[in-house]
Amino acid sequence: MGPAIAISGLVKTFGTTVALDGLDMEVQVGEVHGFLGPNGAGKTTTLRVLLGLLRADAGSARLLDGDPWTDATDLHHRLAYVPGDVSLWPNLSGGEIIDLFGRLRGNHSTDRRAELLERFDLDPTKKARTYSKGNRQKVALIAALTSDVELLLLDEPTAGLDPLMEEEFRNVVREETGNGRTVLLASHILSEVEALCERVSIIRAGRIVESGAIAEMRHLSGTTVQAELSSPPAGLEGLAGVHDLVVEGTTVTCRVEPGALDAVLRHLAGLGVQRLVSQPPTLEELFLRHYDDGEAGS
Amino acid sequence: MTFAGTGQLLRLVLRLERRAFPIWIAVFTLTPPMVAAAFESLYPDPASLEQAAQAVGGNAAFTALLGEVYAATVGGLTAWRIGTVAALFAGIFSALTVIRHTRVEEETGRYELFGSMPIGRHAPLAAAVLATLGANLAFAIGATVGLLAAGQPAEGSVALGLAFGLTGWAFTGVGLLAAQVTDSSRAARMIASSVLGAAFLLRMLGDSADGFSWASWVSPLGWGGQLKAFADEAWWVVVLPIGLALVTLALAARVAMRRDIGAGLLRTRAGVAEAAGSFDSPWALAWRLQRGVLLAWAIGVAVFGTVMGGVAPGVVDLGGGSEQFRELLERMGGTEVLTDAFIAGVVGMFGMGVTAYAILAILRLRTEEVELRAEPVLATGVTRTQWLLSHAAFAVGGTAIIMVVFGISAGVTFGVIEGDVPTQVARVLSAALVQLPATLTLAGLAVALVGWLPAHVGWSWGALAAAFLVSFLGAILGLDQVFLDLSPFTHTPQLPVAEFTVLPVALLSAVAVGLGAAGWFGLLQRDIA
Repeated sequence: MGPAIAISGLVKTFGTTVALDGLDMEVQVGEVHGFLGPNGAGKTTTLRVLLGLLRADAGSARLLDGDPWTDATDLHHRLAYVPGDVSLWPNLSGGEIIDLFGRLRGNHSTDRRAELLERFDLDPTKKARTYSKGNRQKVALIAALTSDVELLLLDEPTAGLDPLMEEEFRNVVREETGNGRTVLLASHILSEVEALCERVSIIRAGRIVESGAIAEMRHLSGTTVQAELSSPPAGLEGLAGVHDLVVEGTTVTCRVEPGALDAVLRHLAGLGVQRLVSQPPTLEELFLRHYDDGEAGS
Repeated sequence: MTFAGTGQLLRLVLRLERRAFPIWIAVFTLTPPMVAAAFESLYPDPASLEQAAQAVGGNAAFTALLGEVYAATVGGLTAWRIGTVAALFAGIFSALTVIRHTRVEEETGRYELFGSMPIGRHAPLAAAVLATLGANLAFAIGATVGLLAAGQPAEGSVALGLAFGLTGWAFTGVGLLAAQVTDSSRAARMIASSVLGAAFLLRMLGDSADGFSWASWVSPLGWGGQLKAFADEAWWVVVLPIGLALVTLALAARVAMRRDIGAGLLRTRAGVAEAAGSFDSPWALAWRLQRGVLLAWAIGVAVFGTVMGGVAPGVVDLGGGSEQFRELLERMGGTEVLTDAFIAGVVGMFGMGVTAYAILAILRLRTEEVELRAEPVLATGVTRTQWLLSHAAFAVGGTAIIMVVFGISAGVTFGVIEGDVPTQVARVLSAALVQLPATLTLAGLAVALVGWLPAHVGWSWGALAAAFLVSFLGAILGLDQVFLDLSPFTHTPQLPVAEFTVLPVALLSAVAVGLGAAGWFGLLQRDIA
């Protein structure tokens, strides 16, 4: 059995707009894969190609060892999808919609449904017309999670949820992966991806610009060090592996490559450290590096 | 009441309607002079006008459908021929437009955006109402100018223009009130169209049945006729539609002031916590989504059929026998036997009306897609073919059901009066069912558009409007047969007047199936939004 998702050279255009421009991505079975990118980068288009709703112009996509376009219906019994833009039938109740999707997909469990309604604190008797945005999102989430499937495709799944529900969602996803499910989580919320995913692919303008384990990416970008010293610092700019150096009076801030950390700390110690803060890089920084055009090539 | 920002919102409404409004105004401006010119050439002298007026005026079928003839002049005949239908369309336009810019905006949450802006609380309603009233004013002015240009007397031209525009005003109020008391645009449209349907039946009753003339005065669609354009204009009648507009608008404003945003007076009830066991397939979903509309149509058609069946026998007693009348009837698509001609005429109109249902049922597919509800359904085990068929089944089956309901309801009342129920039911039923292929041809066109040109599914309505204009006015305007032949309804055998012929029915059916299959093929190939 191959990877859960394998995409290579995927191209999709809408008129003159190039939505996907040679996208490559691989998601292994059993992993929670973050699919990071800002609005309009091509996340939803990729998901729609994977669902067989859009036909790719070029390139190939494989999903659960099948072709997303020709085997769409068979594959859909094995996956569940939470759309980024949840739209429900205004005159059906939340409970009816959850049941309908469970039955259309198959493999749904009424015990699971009851448990999820409880955990997400959703009243299933309300007509969809009267639900708030967060509650509509809960309907879509529960509808997807009641089925026992191999793959979950989630497009901005926590949009509109309050922090408590967001936490509950994370717990549920962690349980799901514990059961061996594969999850592709498309999001622009970095903290969410950081909290859930071991591996991420970062998409920008229809291409994957970086892909891999989060730990490895951090490795690439280094640690941010901020220190207040007894005397104005000197000589730091001469050290290898030091970037973005800023000196203000006796305070110094810089980004340090992992291999240079030892040398930098020794140097700082010689200057008399009053206060020291060191932070691992956040995805935020990683992300900004890829999206800031000026630095994109560095 | 706070109206700050109404001007800006009015500009927004006009911007959104920049395509629809000009088309409607053009139709209201151009149709009256075209019909007047046609009558002018058909009946060039007063004597022939007099004969024509007597022939159609003395015929209950025509007065039932179109109202009374008040003057034996070109203007009088024009007012009679298009007055009721134009008023009806002004009413439909007004109710739908005002609902679209009030309840629909609120339903989709766009009103909330306004709510956060320095815009008066009542500005959105005021803008929607002003735009709709303004469009109707343009209809009135357009029709008046058109008739004047065709050389018609000024008083009558103004009166007929007012008959259209003021009917629209009255239904602007009705539509707004419906939009305020309900909390869904669907329910609002249902209420407004019920009022329109009831008004049409009341007017028909008032103009055709003895002792019921009060009914025409109760019906907002009867007031246009009571203005007696080109006859002895009764100007005071304008008080009625203006009054109804004022009362309904004031009531609507009152409701709007008292209720919360998003709510109506009629509350949404809670639903069930769990779906019924049978709610488990695309078919069940389509049934849930379509059944309300089908039921409403079936009820409306049952009422319509019952009244029509009751009116039909009267035609024979009152029908004038003059040559001119027969000739005119011939032009209208009927022949010798007046009752049969009446049935054929009514059923033909009915067939076109039901086509609107068939198109609506098909376009539900596109609505589901655009509103992003198709996407999650097609992301489950549902195939595109199943999804298409689940809704197309309503276009075919639902339309057939509506035809049967009409055939039975009209046939039974007609048969009871004639004393022979089984025969009459069979005749009316077959006349109704034979409309099915032409109806489904346009439904097939809608499927083809959904499959290949999803952004242009609105052309289905354009095709229906063109078919209607060709059938309703083509013969009078002396249009070339080529144009008449473009409408599928031209080819439908006009039972019970004409014999049933297999060929046109088979060909229409083949075209309908072909268009549907082409659309299906297109849907399998294309991207789903």
